[in-house]
Amino acid sequence: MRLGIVRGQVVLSLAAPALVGTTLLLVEPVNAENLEARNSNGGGRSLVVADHLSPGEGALIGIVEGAEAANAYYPGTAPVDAYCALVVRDYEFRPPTTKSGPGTEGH
Amino acid sequence: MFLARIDGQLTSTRKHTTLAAVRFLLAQRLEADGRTSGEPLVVLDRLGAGWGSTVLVSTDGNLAREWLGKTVPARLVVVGLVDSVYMPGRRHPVLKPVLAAGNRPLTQALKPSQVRGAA
Repeated sequence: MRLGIVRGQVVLSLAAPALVGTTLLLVEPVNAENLEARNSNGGGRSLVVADHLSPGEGALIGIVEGAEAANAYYPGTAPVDAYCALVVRDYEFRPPTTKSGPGTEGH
Repeated sequence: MFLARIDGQLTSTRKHTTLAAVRFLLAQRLEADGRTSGEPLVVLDRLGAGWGSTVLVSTDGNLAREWLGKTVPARLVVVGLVDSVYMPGRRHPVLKPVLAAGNRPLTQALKPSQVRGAA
């Protein structure tokens, strides 16, 4: 699952029958730099994500990609390859310091 | 499958029902030279991976399906905690700090000196 910020919603005038009842979110994936900085910027290439959870605009969500995105429609099928599996409430993200220094001392 | 470093954790209240009792960790994929690549990933864990540890992540969704049911929208699962990586003639550069730091439990906060950008 990658993380992405909801930027908007996509509305179709005509859709494959399996997509009826699914909302489509326009999502911008978040890279490590922006996730750590908590600056609400994304940085990745935008994609459209099938959704049943209705996160608001600006929400951080987990995006499942690939064939498993359609698992949520089992036993039916749906032509989706990205699905919003969760809405993030809070997170901690602290990559280790890149400079070698006192960081790992004492462990 | 690929190697990844655990760099954090995540909580969620609104999520697919099959993910109700799952531990989510934030991981960064590692290349052979130890650098991270790509965007941070949410991985499912039931092995108890610690902060800063190197793990083996499988992208096979069947494992998640066996564990959490056929409707689970998830792919990335921690399938192993890496002890060491052997490469002829060189050392995997990531493992040294990871082993030195030990497998810290995620509930234990890092020391300020370990957090990038700390004063």
